[in-house]
Amino acid sequence: MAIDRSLSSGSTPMLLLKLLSEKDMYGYEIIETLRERSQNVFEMKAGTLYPLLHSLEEKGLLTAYEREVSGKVRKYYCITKEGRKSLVQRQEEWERYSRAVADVMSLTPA
Amino acid sequence: MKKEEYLSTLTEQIRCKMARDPVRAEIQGHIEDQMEVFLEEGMSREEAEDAAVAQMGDPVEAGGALDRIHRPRMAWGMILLISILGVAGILLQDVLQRQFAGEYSVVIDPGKLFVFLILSFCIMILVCFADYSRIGACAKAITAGMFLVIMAGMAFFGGPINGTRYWIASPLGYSFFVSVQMFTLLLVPLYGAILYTYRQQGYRAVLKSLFWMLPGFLIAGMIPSTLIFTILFFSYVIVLSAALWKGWFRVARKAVLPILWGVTAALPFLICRAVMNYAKGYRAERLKIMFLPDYAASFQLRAVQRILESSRWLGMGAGKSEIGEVSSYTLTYTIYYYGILAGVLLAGLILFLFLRFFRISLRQKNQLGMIMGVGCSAVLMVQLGLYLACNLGIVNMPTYCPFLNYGGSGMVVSFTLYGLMLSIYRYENVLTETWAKKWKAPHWRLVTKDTEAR
Repeated sequence: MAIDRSLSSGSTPMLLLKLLSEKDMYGYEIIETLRERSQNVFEMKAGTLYPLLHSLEEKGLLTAYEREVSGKVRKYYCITKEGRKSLVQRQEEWERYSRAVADVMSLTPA
Repeated sequence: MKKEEYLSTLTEQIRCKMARDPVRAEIQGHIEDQMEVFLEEGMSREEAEDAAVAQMGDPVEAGGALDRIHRPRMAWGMILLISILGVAGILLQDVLQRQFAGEYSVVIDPGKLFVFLILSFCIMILVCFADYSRIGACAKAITAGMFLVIMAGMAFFGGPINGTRYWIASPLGYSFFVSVQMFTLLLVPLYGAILYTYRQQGYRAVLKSLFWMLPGFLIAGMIPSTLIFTILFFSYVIVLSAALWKGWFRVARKAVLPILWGVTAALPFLICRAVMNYAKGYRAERLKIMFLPDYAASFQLRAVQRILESSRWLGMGAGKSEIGEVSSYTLTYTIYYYGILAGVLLAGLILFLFLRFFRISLRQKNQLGMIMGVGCSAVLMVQLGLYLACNLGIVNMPTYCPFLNYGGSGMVVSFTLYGLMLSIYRYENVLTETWAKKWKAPHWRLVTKDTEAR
């Protein structure tokens, strides 16, 4: 099921950082893991993923390296120390945001 | 859409051509991974390709986003600072020369220097737009080539001036001289690129690294020039330290680095002490004149110290100008003529520029760019350091200093190094090199009955 883009675009970097904080992954693996973990809610297109990965790399939140697996050379991404700090920050912001949304939505009309 | 069409459309959006290949490779890999999944599900090859490409999204949008990230950029601020320092340096030397030059001083022609400045500036811009990674890839060949050319040039065409083979006169009869010693300094960034090829290797890499210092040392020995040897020595050690520090070699970094620095600090000291105390002849003399102000023949050293003692914060100092040779003491005379603050400002600006070079180099993600940048910065900083030591009356070892000395070859070499730095800065987000997985120190596992059974 597709989610309205404006809802998901802000949190996507946080999700990527979270996945990479657990394990180094390459592009295709990231999309698959994201899809599985979100029960098919987040279906990111590769055309969105790679600019985002490269942008995070340029900002120093990720580094990349190449690894050969069964004849194929893949570019793996790895989170950096700054990346982990940024993840913690973003997570706190997100929790504050979603709590606020929940609070507003739970106000029943008089 | 077919795979090739998608990839072409996407990479076309990336304006900087140098960034295209790695992006193409990564995205192609992704499409092929997706195709494999579809093939396993039973699709035909054509269907799999179409479906995989469709899953990618809009190539123009994706390419445009990638173009915004992988952009080259010009360091306009640094180029401006370099230009200002270049012009100011020439004007300053001209003024000081008119005031203080003695009978034995070299006469500087500012007109000729400005021509060299323009030429050097053009070279800097050319090098800036060059692909430094290609230069780095052929570093060993270039080093070997330079070594042979310089040695042959010195042997066959070298004109000894004052007993040292600094100059190579052109065999075509044109009277221009190439200062060999300055061009030797270009070996340092190349040395960094050579170390880059030994990454992930063990102690043998350290030995090979020491070996590749030899071409530079041999040339310095042939000239002969203690100055070039000193600059190369410290620059090489800085570059090797950077490589070790970044964990490039599989060695016990915590042991090797202190040993390296210890040897670097101790060796020159011990050699100088030995020569001064036990050797006879001109070498011992030269060293004593360099370091000991109380020694009878150390005129220069004492003269510099006296001038500095008589300087004021602003404006001209009180003492007499005694060093005839102005150009090697531009900073000393600036302090004397314009005041200490002027000297601090001048040295400070140049130091600021070179420290920026270091910072840019060390934060490079591309490790080749990092080490070549460190090489350039090291040469410039060591030269500046020696010049400051000389101009502040600590040692007497007149050296070339970027911006503050005459010398066409010196200017060309310095500006080549600036160009290389600007190139590394320019392609920071374009030449994204992916390093092989970082080597982690092995931890020894206790072999217990359980692990053995596995």
